[in-house]
Amino acid sequence: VAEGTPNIPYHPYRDPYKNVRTTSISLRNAMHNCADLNHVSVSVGKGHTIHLFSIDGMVDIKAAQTNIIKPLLNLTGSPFEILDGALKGGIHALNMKKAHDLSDALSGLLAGLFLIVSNEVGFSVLVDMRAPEHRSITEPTSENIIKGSKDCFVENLRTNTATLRQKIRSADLKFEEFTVGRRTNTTVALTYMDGIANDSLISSIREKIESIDIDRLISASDFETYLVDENESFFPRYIFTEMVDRFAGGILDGKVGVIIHGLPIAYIIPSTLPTIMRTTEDLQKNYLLSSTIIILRYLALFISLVFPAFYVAVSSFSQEMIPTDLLLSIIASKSGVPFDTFTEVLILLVAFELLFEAGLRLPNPIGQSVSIIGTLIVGQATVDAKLMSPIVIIVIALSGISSFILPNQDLSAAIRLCRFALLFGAAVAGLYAIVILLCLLVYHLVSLETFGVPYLTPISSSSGANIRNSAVLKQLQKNVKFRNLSVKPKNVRRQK
Amino acid sequence: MRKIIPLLLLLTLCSCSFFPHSYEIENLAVIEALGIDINENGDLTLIAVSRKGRLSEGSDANSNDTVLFTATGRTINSCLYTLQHLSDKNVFLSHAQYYIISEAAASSNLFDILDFLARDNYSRLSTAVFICRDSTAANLIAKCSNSFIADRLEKLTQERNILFSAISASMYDTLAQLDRTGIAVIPVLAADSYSDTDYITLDGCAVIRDGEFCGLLDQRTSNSLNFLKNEIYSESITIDYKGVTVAVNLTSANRTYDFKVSGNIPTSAHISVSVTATIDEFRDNDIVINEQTLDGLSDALNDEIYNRLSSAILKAQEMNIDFLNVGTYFELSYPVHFSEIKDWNKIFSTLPISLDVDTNISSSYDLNQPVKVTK
Repeated sequence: VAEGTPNIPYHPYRDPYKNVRTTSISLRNAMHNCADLNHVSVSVGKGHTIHLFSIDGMVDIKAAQTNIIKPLLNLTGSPFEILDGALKGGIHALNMKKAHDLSDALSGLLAGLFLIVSNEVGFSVLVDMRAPEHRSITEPTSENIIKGSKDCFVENLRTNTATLRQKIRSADLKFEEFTVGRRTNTTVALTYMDGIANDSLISSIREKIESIDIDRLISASDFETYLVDENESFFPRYIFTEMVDRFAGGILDGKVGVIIHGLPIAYIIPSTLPTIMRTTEDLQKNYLLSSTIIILRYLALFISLVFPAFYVAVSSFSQEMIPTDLLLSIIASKSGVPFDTFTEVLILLVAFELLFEAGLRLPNPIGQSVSIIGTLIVGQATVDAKLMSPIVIIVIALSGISSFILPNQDLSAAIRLCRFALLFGAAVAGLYAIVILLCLLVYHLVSLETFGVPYLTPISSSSGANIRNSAVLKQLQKNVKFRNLSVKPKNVRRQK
Repeated sequence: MRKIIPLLLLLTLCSCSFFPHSYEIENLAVIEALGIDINENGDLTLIAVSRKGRLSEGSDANSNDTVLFTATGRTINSCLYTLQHLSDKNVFLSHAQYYIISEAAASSNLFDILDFLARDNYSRLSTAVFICRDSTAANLIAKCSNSFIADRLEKLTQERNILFSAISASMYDTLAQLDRTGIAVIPVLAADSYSDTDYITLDGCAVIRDGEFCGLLDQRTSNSLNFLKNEIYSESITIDYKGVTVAVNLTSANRTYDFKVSGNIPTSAHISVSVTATIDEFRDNDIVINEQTLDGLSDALNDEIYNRLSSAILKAQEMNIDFLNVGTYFELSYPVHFSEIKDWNKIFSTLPISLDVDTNISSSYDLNQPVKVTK
């Protein structure tokens, strides 16, 4: 325990309501000061009292009145017979279950179920009468698609599973649900195609989810932190997408998906660099066009990573490499600039990151204004004031634009971070440092694995065909007979 | 192993800090042309030509602003050292595109000069080398005070084929020739005698043997070297046909050597040159261009090329230097024989060389009728 922090021993999670009998009093005690708790007591049978609980706003009240309360009033007998009769069709609901203790009852109640309690019976009944109020399916906001389905994930897990089920109408599509978060009790659905996805991959991700022991799971990072070891690398090793068809494609390729209630995105695991470099659109265009664009993306990755460092290295150490005309132009553009090349590039890169973050966090109209002001100030004014040379602005702009071409924001951020390392290296030892740091980067990427799959698969493969497939898509109908072998699918063949 | 490899790479990176110091790009005095001369005291003089930089639009500075640095010393190294002291910026020779070496400096020891310049790791071996005739390099550079000499030389190099004026010689070519055969042919620069302005022009070639300057070839003789090297790329030549000046465009040349050998020694050589050409300009309105005319033009062109080649061969044999590279082709045909020859140039100077030129004017303007100008 670090000095100055309270010495808090580890407590294994213990549910305080486990094995506690559900009564109206115990439930009200557990939920005291919860203003959104609805509690109604009704007399049924021969003077027996039944307690009905729900969370305000989560239950469809009209449907509950029609399908639960009215039929319940018609039931006769002892409280046990009434609750047992309700479970056996006495009330009109498709989804009902028994809750044997207070813990089960509370978790169902807080999930939006309708709870029927009798103080004289040892169990309670949970009825699914949830209000269908959630954000409707809209077009994706972070991934643009021109040709293809536009439905995307929403915050509601059940809506997401239903949308996915509409894409893959197969009994082999499995959803395994887990509850993660001691306090939030968030439902996490492990999704895979039975008979295609590798069993060991499924069980390793299942174990990973089961091992998560945290208070809350309300944001993406809460889950991502536990999914992969972030100390190992800052490169993304999973794809998150809000596109249902991209997710379905990944599942059908033998990968495993994770959908979290409350998040409008889903994860495809494992993911390698070549898969991260692809988008949904790639499969919907002519394969030659898509292949060209993918190659362009790799070029953009390289430019984004290396270009600022290369400029510093060449203009400070290896001026003989620059064509004479260009050299003279650079010298002319740099005359009167008070900073050395490295400082110039560093300042502009930091300014670029500031502008990028500002544009990201601010609402759209303000973000655009910040971008325009930033462009004018950082671009035009600094050049006019001879604070920066135009050539450096061009270098940073080209590098920045290239980073935006990358389809994954996490990858783009990782590349931007590496860019700084290369820049510092270039300032120390020029091109030698760039080459050595790139070797280190490649070494790191080659040694990286996600759930047993090498990160650079299939680029790192010894097979020439696999390497070609990483960048060049083959014509779907004729050539892609087999699934990507990197995730070791149980069923390799995709078509006849 | 997983830890050792990154460690080794990081150690290598640390060792990189011993690599050369970085220079800010704006602190470089980029030398684009370097003149090498010998002054009246016998010392070497370097004239480094730089320009202030291409300034942005709207700037009041002249884009051709030339900066000249001149330094004198016993060696090139000492001259460069002095140059560095004269300039407030780092003298940067890596972008030198032209070395202009005076006749006097070339006579002293051209090989040493080029050898020194080529030893710089960052110098460009594609740098063009020129010898200046009848003038010192300093004077020649001074003549280009208004137009930047590097621009003028670039223009001359580009026009080389059009002017059919001289062969090119890069530092690499020159050193390679000197290394292989001991003989190099370098283009010569001279002040333009037809112009009162400050232009320079190409004027023949200089012959270098074993690094020593041996003599100059005039323009016509220099031209013939192009035939013997198969370096004809759409070049123009003027001939006289029945008192009419005709410009023909040479489209290709093909040369073959044939040697007769006795023992290990060649007894005679025969050079066949086959040239194809088209008519460029025909300044006569009365002569009909028919097959007879074309035959006549071919004969005239034949004579012109034959005379040029003959004079080149004669000059080479007089100088006792095989700058025509006949020896190279003999070596290709008879490598064993050639390896046993100690002094090829001596044999070359007495070798009977016969010449056969075959010219074919393959196409022309489609003129079947004389052009009559109506007054």
